[in-house]
Formats: sequence, C-alpha cells, structure tokens
Amino acid sequence: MSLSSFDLLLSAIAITAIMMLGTTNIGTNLRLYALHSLLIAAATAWLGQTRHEPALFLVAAIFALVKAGFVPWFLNSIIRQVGGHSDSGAFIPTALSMPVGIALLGANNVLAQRLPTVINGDGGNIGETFALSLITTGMLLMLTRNIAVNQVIGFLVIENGIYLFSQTQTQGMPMALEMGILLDLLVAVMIAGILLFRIKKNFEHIDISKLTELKD
Amino acid sequence: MNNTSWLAYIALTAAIVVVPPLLIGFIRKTKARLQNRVGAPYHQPLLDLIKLLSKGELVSEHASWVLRGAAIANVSIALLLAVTSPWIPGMPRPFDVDIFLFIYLFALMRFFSVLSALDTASPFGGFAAGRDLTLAVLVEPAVMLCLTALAVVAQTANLSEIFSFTGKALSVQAGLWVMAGCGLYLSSLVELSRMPADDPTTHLELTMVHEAMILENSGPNLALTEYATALKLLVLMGVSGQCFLHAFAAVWQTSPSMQTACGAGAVLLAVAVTALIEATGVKLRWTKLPEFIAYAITFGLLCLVVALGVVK
Amino acid sequence: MHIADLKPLVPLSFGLFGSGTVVSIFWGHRSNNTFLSGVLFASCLTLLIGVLSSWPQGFVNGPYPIFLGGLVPFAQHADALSLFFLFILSLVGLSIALFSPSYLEHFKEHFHPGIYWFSLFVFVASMAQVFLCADAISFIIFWELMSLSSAALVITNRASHTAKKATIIYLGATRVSTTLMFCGFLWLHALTNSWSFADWSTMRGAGLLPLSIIFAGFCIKAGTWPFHLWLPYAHTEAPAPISALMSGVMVKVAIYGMIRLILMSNTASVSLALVAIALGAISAFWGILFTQVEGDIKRLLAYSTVENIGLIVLSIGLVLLGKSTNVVAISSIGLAGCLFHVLNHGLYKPLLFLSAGAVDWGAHSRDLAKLGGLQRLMPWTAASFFFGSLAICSLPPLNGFASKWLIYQGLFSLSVGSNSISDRTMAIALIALLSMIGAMSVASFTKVFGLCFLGTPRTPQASHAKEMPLAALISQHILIACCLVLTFGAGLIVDGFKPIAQGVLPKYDVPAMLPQPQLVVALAIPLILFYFVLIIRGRSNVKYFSTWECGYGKLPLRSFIDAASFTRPLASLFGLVIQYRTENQIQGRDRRHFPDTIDVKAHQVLWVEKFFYSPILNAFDALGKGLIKLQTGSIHIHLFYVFATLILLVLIGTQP
Repeated sequence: MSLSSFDLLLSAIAITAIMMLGTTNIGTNLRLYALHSLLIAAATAWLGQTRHEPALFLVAAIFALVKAGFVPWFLNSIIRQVGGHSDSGAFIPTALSMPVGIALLGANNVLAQRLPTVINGDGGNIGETFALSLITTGMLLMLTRNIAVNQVIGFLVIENGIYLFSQTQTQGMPMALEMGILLDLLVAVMIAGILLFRIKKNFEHIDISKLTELKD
Repeated sequence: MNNTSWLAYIALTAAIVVVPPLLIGFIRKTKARLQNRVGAPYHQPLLDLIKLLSKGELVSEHASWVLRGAAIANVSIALLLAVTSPWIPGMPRPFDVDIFLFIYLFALMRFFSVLSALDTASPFGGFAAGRDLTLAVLVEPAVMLCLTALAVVAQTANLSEIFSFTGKALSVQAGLWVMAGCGLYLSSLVELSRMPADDPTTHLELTMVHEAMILENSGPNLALTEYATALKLLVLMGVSGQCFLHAFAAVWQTSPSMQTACGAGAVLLAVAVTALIEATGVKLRWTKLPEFIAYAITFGLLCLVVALGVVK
Repeated sequence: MHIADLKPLVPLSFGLFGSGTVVSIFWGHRSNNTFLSGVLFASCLTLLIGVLSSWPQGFVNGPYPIFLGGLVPFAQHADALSLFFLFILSLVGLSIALFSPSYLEHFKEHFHPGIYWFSLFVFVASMAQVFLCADAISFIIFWELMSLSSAALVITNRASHTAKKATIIYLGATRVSTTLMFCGFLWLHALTNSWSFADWSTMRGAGLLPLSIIFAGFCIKAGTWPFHLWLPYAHTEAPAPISALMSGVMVKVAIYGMIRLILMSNTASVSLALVAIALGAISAFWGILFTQVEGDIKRLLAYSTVENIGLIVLSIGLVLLGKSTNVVAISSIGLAGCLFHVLNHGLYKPLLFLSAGAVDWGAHSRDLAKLGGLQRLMPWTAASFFFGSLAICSLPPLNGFASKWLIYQGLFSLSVGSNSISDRTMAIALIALLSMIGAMSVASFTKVFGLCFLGTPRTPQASHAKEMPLAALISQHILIACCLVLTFGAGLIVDGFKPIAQGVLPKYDVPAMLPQPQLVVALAIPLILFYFVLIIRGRSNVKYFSTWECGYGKLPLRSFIDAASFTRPLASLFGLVIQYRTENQIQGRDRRHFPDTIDVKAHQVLWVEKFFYSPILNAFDALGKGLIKLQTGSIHIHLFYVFATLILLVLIGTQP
C-alpha cells in the first residue's frame, strides 16, 4: 500500500492539527490553523475536480476566505485587545501532547477500519482516519489549554474534522447546508469573541483553569 | 579499483577537506546578507582554521590528556562519519555503516566533547556539558525513530542501501521521506547547536551549549574542534537534505550524475534554510527547548505510523 | 599432551577452593591476605584452564551418592552453557584475587579476615557449582550457599551501620527469591515426578505456570524492576571485589537459570515473552534514570547493573518471542545478544567496580562531590575507568557496542519480520527507547568520569589520593585486555555461541557482525596521524595557565560543577519520578544585600520510592508487629503451633 497524493494532502491536514498541540503560542496556533484550513479548502477543491462538482470549488473558496482568512484575523485581533498570547498549558505537558495526539491517530485508524466505508472505492480508510483524528486532536487541544481562545481554536478544529468526515463518508452535504454551517460557525466565533471580552472585563483574565472560583 | 573510482575517492577527499568550512562561511555570508551586512568572504572559516593551526596553544593547568585527545578523537570520528554516511548520492564508501552505528558514532563524539568540557574544571563548560547531554537524550530517539522507520520500509538497516534510490518499497514513499527529512532536520539543528536551540555566535550567554563547551580550547585544538563541528554540519545537513531529495525522486527520475548535483544543491539548500532561521528567528528559552524537540520526535512518530501502515 | 586432557582441572579447582576454605577457617585470622588470595588466584586459574580445555563438549563427573545424604545423586554436569558462565566467573575471580589483598588494607581492624576469606571461597565455589548442577535439589542447595555467603560478604565492614541495613535488605530479597523458586521447583516435581532439569525441559504447556513463578524468583535475584531495590544497597556496601563478583557474575546466575530452565524448555509462551520484554525495558530505563541522580559511584554502578540486566532480560524475551512464533532469525539474534551482553557486562562491570574501589581506597570517598582531579594522582585507575565507561556506554568500536548492536538487530528483525502490528510497533518503540537509554548512559558515565577524574580536587583528601599497588592495577588491566579481545573478535565470539545455541534453538542463524576491526583501524589511523602532526609538533608551542573561565580569573572551588547541578537539566525532564528540592538559608543582618552566609541545599526526592515502596515496606513492618503477638515465649504455646500446623497439613494432604 502506498499513499496517494490526495492521502498525502489529508495527512498534511492531520499533521498541521497535531502540530497545533505542540505550541503554547496562540499566534503560532492561529497561523497553523489558517494553514490547516487552507489545506482543507485545497482538499475540497481537489474533490470538486475528481467528482466533477463545480459547486465544491465555490465551497472551497468561501471556506478559505472564512476559515483561513477572517476567523484567524478576528481571533488575533481579539488577542491583541484582550492580551495574553501565551498559554501555560494544562493537564499534560505540552511536549507530550503531540505524541498523545499521534497515539490517538493510531487508535482512530483502528476505529476507522471498523466503520463501514460508503464511497471511496479504493477500500482504504485513510481519509476517515485523518478526519477522526482531527476531532480527537481538537478535543485534546481544548483539554490541554488554559486560555479561552485556545478552546475556540480546538472547537474549530473539531468542526473541520466533522466537515472532512462528512466529505469522506458521503458525497458531501448539500451546498446550502455547507453554507449554513459556515455561517453558524462565523456567528459562533463572533459570539465567542464577545464572550471573551466579557470574561476579561469581569475576571481580568481569560484563563479557564481559574474559573473554578465560580463554583460557589 | 578502476580509474573512475580513484577519481571519485580523490573528489570525496577534497570535498571533505574543503567543503565543511565553506558551508560555515556560506551560513555566515547568507546571514549577513539577510541582515543587510556585507559579511566575511565565503572562505573566511577556512582561513581561520589555517590561522588557528599555526598558532600556539594555551592550555589550562588543570587539563589532562583528555582536553587535547578529545579534539583529535572527535575529528577522527567526524571524518569516519563523513566518508561512510550518505550525505551526497553517488559517493564511494570504504565500508557501509548501519543506522545504529551512525547514531552511536555521534554518541561517541558527544562522549569526548563532554569530557573535554569537564576537563578544565570550568563551571561554564560543566553546565554546558550537562545541557548538551540533556538535549542528546531527547534528540537521539527522534533521529532513531526517523531512521528506523525508513529502515523498516526498506527492510534493511544499512544506511547506504536506504539512501540508494534503488529500494522499490521506499522510492514511492514521498510522504515518509518528507516527514523523516523534517524530523532529521529539526534534530540536526539541535545536534549542531544551531539557532532555535543554541546561538552559535554568542559566547557569554547563560544558556549557551556548544560554545561554552569549547571555551577553553585554543590554537590547533580549537581548529580541530571547529573542523569536527563543520564536518558534523556537512553530514547531518547532507542526510536530512537527502531525505527531501528522495521525496522528489518519487516523482522525478534522473541520472546518477544529476542526482549528485541535486544532492549538492540539497545540502546547500538545507544550510541556507538554517541561515534563514538564524537571521530571522530568535533563540528559544532553555525551558522551551523540550517543546521544540518534541516536534522532531513527533515527526519521528509520524514516520513510525506511516512505516507501520505501509509495510504489511 | 592434548588440550582435552586438562579437563580434570575443573574438579581440581574445586579441591583448591575447598582447601582455601579450610585454611581460612583455621588459620584465617593469622595468615596474611596475600597467601589466601594466591590460593584463590591458583584455583580460578585452574578453573579457567579446565573450562577452556572442556569447551565445547563439556563433561560429567559423578554421580557421587555420598553427598546430600543420598537424596539425589550429586554430580557435575558441564555443557557449553555452564562452561560459558564458568569462564566469566573464573576471569572475574582471577582479577579480584589480584585486587583483594591491597584493597583489604582499607578496612583495617573493621573486618575479620577469616570470615571474609571463608565466605569468599564458599561464594566462588558454590557459584561455580550452581552452573554445574543438573538437578533441582543440588541447584537450590548451592544457590542458598551462594546467597548466604554473599550476604556474609556484604557485611564485611562490621563497623558500618549502613552495611547492616544493606545486608538485611539483601537477605530479605534472597529469601523471597528462593521461596518463589522452590515453589516452582516443587510444582514441577509434582508434574514430572523428577528433579532433573533434563526431564523438565521436555514438558509442554503445563509447565508454564510453575516456570513463571521460577522466572519471578530469578527476576528478584537478577534485580530487574520492580525487584531492583536490593542491588543499590548490597553493591554499595560490599567491598569492591565483592561488588564486582556480585554484579559481574552473581546476578548472571539468575540469567543462567532463566536460560537453563525457561529457554531450554519446550514451554514457550508469547505472554511470558512479553512480560520479559516489558520487565527488561522498564528495568533498563529505570536503572539508567536513577544513575543520573546518583552521586555515589558504587550506587551508580549498581543502578547501571539494573539497566544492563534489563537489556539482557529483554533479549531473553526476544528469544522466547522468536521461539513461540517460530521465527529463527529473531530468537537466534536475541540469544546471541543476550549471551554476548552477559559476557561483556561480566567483564566491564567488575572492571568499573574495581576502579571505583581503587578510588575509594586512594581518595577515601565514593561521593562525587568530594572527588575530582584524580587523573593526575591515579592515572592508571583513570585509564581503566575511562575504558570501562566507553565500553559500558556501548560506544563503538568497543565490545559493548557489539552486544548492544545485536540487541538492536534482534529488535529490528522483529520490526521487519513479525506479522503482528503490535509486535512491530513495540519493536520500533523499543529501538527508540534503547537509543534514549544509550544517550542517558553516556550522560551518567561522562558525569562519573568527568567529576571524579577530571578537573580539580574538590577536597583536601582527594588532592592527596594515591594510586593502588601494581597487582591491583594489573587486575583491572586483565579485564581491559579481555574486553579488547572481545572487541576485535566479536564475529568469532558470536559464531562461538553455536554450541550453546544448539541446546536452546533448532537453528542458529546470526547476521554478519559489523566490521569491528576495520572500524577500529578507520578510527585509529586519523587519530594517530593527528596526534603526531599536531600534538608532537606543537608541543613546544604550548603554554600552561589557569583556566580562562571567560576572564573571571580563579574561581573558588565550590563554584565548580557537582553531580547534582550537572544532571539537573536532564533530571528535570523526568519530573514525575525525580523532584528537586532546594532549600536556601540566608544568614546575616541585612540579609538581602549583604548576607553573611548563604547555604543552599539541593536534594532529590524519588517519588516512586517514597510513595510506592515505602507503604509496602511499612505494611510489612506493621504486619510483623502484629505477628509478634503470636510469639508468647511459652514453650506450650509454641508446641501447640507445631501440632496445629501438623494437623492442618495432614488435613490438606488427605483431601481427595
């Protein structure tokens, strides 16, 4: 078995997500996220080419514009105003979270082999593996970070994983649905941004590990 | 031995003697140009070496035979590495090394350089030696993972067979080669004490590694140490450049002589990227370094995943 | 005379051991150490020649029914495996015989020469006999003799309180080990109705559980994780020659037992193999991790023994895995790696222990913080320690690398040749782990050599150190010579394991070794060239001056690096296991700006030892305190216990 070029593109998507686990610098994380989203847009365009669906090109273009352009810029500007561009990391050491992410990648491969493959006549389950690994990587990112912006990034990675998984499992969702999800996402990010401002105003930090003081 | 192989050996010898200092000069020049300076000429390190060789030597009164013996031993090991490891395609080799010997020869060099740092009873040398060993503990598994993954796919541990462009199983694995190349390159930066890990141009930083270890060397001793480091640069940059070259070979087949030319280009490119990182980046804090090396280990683990997936 | 005619020298050497024992019982307190060490030397030399002449066919002496009250016929069965281990024993015995007399001056009135020499003769002879036993009863008798005599040797220095504690811990470990072994032996006897090892080896399947129990017993004696606790205590407190013998040979007796009983039996199971691999890998990592933070040379060497035993057990696991999955390449490379590593470790570890003993003898300290700069005062000891460090870090081109290379090759062939993806993942992960362990062993041995022999003396006593007498130096250099022979003859040695492998594996198939001699030459040529061109030529041009230190001038002694600060960056990576605690005490009126004294103490807290072993030991302690109530002192109650036990046993025995 050897990886096809499309598989290599998908693996690059998974690797950029795993790389996000290894840095505590939010700026770097946002740049990696932009690259990651750009690669997904490229994969979408590739699918549009192979499946002869011109609509996918449009999805790819909007995807790139929103996720690789607007969202990182918006979050970056929030960080600049709220302050705090480095995360202390929580739960497991930052350096160890990447190997954990890779271990989860292996586990996802086992999981993907159990899933019934719908399309992708080649019988491989590389796509599913990488898509599922995006979901677990996003979860890991949310679990291992303290600064609230990173939770947003983790959520976005999970969302990307779900999108990619839907692309590998079916012929993709209807165009309207894709657009709707993108719009929802946009709104979610904006709301998260506003919430961050509120948290910062009330608590003077955006460190969620200190939110335990809300307990009583 | 026929005439062409004689010629190849002579070319190799010449390359090993002249190229390593020129690579250092190339890094310095590139860096200077990127920082809007003129910079010293490319062959300045070569001249420096010659100058140092003709100078006298100042040795600490605490030092034993280890200080001067270590420099000689390190040059010998570096020469052995340079003639046996595949830093450029189409190079003749007196005998083959395998991946385990390759890594352990680096460990042998480290053994000697650490001892020479401790030999003069200098606190700077001692602290730097402790740091050097710490980095090695993290880097060696990364290098080992990358090389073992390649070896498992190639079904042989022989380094020159892995890097021979002929292995059928390995020649189609562009992704694996790229990941191994990234892992080896990042590890090389640490192993060579280049920029994100250690600043090769400062001598009086509190977190310095390599420069503090050779603080007490002078004259011919220093020349040999610098030359051994330059040889190490050639070998490590060569091997990691080779990985990317093999990734290209998966899509572009060419003649052996072209491969050699491209190999030389790959070494230069890897060195130029190093210079670029040094010109634009900053040195990482010591406590952040494990996170940097974690990237090398991650690439190694990814290689492992690919190798396990590929070999059925 | 033909070489094979020298075979009777083996029983003769036992006679010499016996006479040494008798002499030391009756005249031990009066005769001088030199005479008795001469007897030991002669007997070990006889044994060595006898072993070499019997290789590889071996011999059978006996059976002599008069021994052991006729319970089992006592005999000496030597095959290639026994001869291999006897060879290591006799070599180490030779060198410690040369080393002992001058070293023992160190203890002066604190030891009793009669007891020391008596125990030593019994120790060596019983160890030799353990290798020659072919049945379980005599095996366990001589095993016990070996354990008890070595315990008596650990407490040679009777004035030391720590030696007493070490002996208690060591004795505890040997008790548990022997109990487990005996349980397994009894079980196997019940299954086969025989005490003979040969009968046990033909068993299939059913023998797995008893063999696993025996394996656990051997693991305790070998000192693998998590049973390694006794090693650092016993090896540290015993006199250096005894540590050399214990670490070089005695822990290998357990390895011998594993090969004899588990590898040579037909019972090969994947689960036992995986357990061995896991235990081996963890021991190797654990041992080398703890060498990082040790500041006592002998303790550090003891932890390094844990590491090496881990590697050996790991390769035994590889052999088992290869046998149970019928892959000849893996099992034969694993066996070659195991045997070669046993041989190497049996030579360079005694070498290091003897050098450490020489440091202790010359500078009166084993603490790295109190040594330093010994290279000038003890150049020959420094040279042998340097060589030993190179070998034990398994750096090329020395013999240590050859055996490590074989273990790597075994793992690599597992990662290439196995069908199961989990095995392959494990193999590659282990290769990465071994490379990390290799880097860490470089770290710990450069620390010892650098801080002990290089730089400046840290204390006055270190600056007055003196070299040991010639015989003690020769004893170290004998071992160096053996290591060099192994370096150049690595290929021949690996081929030479064939007679041993015949008993273990159906086929012995090992890849060609690395070109060790060429490697040495390739390294030596530029070395010599540069030496002559630069050092000799430039000698006139060298000036000696105080260390530059970036121009700070002469720094005070305590600013030099010591063991704790040297390894701190490395140990801080493993914060889960090792935690540094620093205590600052600043005295003086205006404490912030003009302190009178600053006292900084750094010490390591070993979490696992503190939170895992201590509760267990405390629980045992509490249990003992509870049980002590049973002991009333009344004869009647004690008689009642005896009868109650008897009745209970009869009841259990008569169950249908």
